[in-house]
Amino acid sequence: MSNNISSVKELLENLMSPRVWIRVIIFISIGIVFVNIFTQLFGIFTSTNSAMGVSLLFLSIINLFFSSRIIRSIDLMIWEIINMPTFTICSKVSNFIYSNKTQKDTFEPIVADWQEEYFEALFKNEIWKARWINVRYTYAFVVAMWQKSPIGDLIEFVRKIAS
Amino acid sequence: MQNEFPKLSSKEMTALEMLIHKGEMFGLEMVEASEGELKRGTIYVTLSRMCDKGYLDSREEPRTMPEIGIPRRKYWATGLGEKVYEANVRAIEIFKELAWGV
Repeated sequence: MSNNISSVKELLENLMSPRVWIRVIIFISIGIVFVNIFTQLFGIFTSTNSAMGVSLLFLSIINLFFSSRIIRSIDLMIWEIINMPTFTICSKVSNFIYSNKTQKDTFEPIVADWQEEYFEALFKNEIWKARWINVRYTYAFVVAMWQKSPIGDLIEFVRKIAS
Repeated sequence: MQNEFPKLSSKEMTALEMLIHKGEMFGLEMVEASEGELKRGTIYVTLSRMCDKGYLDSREEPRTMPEIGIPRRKYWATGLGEKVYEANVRAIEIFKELAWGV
């Protein structure tokens, strides 16, 4: 009985944890994407309902492999990424895509300003302001990445010629 | 190519004007001082392009002890940057004189 109570408690705790929900959302998304690909490739599903049904089947198959080492390591990696500060994630993404020079000249100063404003807000215990700063700088970061992309360079070039 | 007139964009003009008149500045200070003309997302792209052209120079400013995070970058106008700015200001004045007689 006590075992049952603890397992029910454990189950409820698991259901309450954001980790489980994030995992479920990620796997549902993967399932839907896969089913859509199959639908497009083979045209086997004519209605959305059957596609959803197969995506749920796919999910249950994935769940069978939940205990495997690979799934666990992927899960842990996803969890680590979720727990990272937003500026670290952005910095890692830009570091992966752009050259060291671009990273040093363009993205590192943005992260430095981001940290400056973010930690100042946290120091003053203004949690909502800190969250707003995260949103604002994520947008700024995306804009900078767009401008530093080849398309951004092309737009800049065309603008220069036009002016 | 060297005889080509070094035309500045409005963002480049604003940045150079601030750096010439106020001295060395951080990017964030320039964003705040520009009252909305320079944005957080575009300032460093503009500043790095200007550094590449030789109009600006920069250095990393290490953080003082209680502060944490990666070092911020301080910018200043070079001699070439000042000359280019002056040339652009004069070009605008001449254009106004010719076009509208102001």
